[in-house]
Amino acid sequence: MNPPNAPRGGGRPPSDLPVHARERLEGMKKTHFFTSDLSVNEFLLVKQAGFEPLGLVMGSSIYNISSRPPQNLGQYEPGRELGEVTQALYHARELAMTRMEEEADELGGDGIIGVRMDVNLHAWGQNVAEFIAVGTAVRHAGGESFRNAQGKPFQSGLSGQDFWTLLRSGYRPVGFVMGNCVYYVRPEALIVPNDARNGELSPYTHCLYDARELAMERLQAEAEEVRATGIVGVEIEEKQHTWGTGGQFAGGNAAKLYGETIEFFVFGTAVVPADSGQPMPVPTMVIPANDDVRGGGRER
Amino acid sequence: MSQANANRPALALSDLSVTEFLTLSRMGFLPHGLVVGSAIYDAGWSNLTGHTREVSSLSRAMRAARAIAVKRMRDQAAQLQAEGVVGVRLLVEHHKWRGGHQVVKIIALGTAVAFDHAHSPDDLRGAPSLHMADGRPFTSALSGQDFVTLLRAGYRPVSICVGCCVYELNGYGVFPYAQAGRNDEIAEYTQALFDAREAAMERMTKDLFAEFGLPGAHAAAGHPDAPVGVVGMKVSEQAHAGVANVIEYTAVGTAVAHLRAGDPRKAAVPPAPSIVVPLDR
Repeated sequence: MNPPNAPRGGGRPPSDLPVHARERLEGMKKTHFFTSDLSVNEFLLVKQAGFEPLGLVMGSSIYNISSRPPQNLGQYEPGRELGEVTQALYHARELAMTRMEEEADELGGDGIIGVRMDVNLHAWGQNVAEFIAVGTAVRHAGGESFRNAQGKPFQSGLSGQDFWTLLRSGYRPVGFVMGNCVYYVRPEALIVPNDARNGELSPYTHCLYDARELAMERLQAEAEEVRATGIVGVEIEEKQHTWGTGGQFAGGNAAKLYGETIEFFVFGTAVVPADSGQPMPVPTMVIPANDDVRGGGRER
Repeated sequence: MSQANANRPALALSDLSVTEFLTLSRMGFLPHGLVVGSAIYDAGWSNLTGHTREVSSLSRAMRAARAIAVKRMRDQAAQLQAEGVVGVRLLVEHHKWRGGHQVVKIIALGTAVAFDHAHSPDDLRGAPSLHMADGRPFTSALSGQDFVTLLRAGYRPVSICVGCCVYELNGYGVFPYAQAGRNDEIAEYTQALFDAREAAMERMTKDLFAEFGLPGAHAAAGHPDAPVGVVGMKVSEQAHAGVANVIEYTAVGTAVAHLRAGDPRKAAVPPAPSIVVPLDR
């Protein structure tokens, strides 16, 4: 049971962008007025790197997620992937990303930088989650096309600073790649043995291992698909979901009664080598005297 | 004390950090005081219908309340002879008062700063003012460092800009999905919230253009402060007044324009980034 990640852009085509999205994008195209969530430093570095910010782009998808523990777990099987749920969560994110990409395409962007993938849980639905992809569409000022092999704007999860550094170091981003795995762990795997020794809950470890590796494998497969030579800025997020396990009714004991549903979500930016035409900059060592700035902006 | 400093309060409050203060003062900007504007606004009955739609009365109220608070803050800065306000924050509190009336409390605060010609580095003396053409101070959500970096790069902040959209969701929209146990997108909700977010962003720029003119407009056309873009934009969302299916989207950013011609604060050579390895961690 290893559901491959759905191909990018597969499944249902993303629905049309809402009215206000079209209006906003048209307006930005007509006036050459940019909006961006880049900080001042990022904005300047992106310009230094030879790109013009075009506008903040985003896409979202609100998804109903329904999961039940697998019915046919073997006697000694500690848990199993919930393939359908994996695909649902992947598909929701993919819809959000594709819509964001559509917006960037509409603006005539070469790529999207600073891509973030957020999940919002709203109070009005236990099993409902909103997936939001946000980033800033950019275009190469010199007219060189940076679009990916599919002719779509590239996506990069890197900050403006990292984007500049990456380009100067002779690489370029080709895509925001991700992989996920939703895994059910049966309650027995979470219960400490009767003799209460200090020991590993090896079935539980096994499940988490399996889930993590599956997610990473899918991430890698996606990067290979876009012919990347590597992935930078990989992050692994472990999310615990109570969906369908009755967890919302059982308080702290939920896992021991109903088992646990966890998701590993991994993402990163796939890169390929590209000649920057400039020597790789040599880093200078500094001792910063300021303690309130990290990455050039002040937290608000 | 110099002449330019005569208008500056002897004791100027600021919420600048030490780094911000030093960065600003090295370039010749001194704080003129912490400025605050607030508005408590009654949005009337929220008239929720249970349908998926925009709650226009609330959207309008949020917009009006923010505009008042920002204006008051700006007026205070003008009174302190400041050229503008940096580090503006907008704080929002919702209340339900008077038997169900939606009341919103907005506070805008930041630090008023002005360029002190006597205090500035020699080569920057005589730099043109950063006031807007009509004499009002600028406002910006930028930190002191970001403000200085922006000037060196040849831009100036014009105004913080805000767009808002309050949307109501049909609370029963999820029922069919939940009952059938489907793994599927709830298209009605996606469209609604997507649209709401886009509306907030669009209104932000629309209000900006209405006030300062379309980008690319010229001083001759009466739009000397026409902005070229928005930096540091954030779109936030929150359940409006704690009602779960009423969601409020707010887009906030700082609109920037090119520096006036001949402003010596624009670095002759754009600041060149270099790669550093910080040794503090």
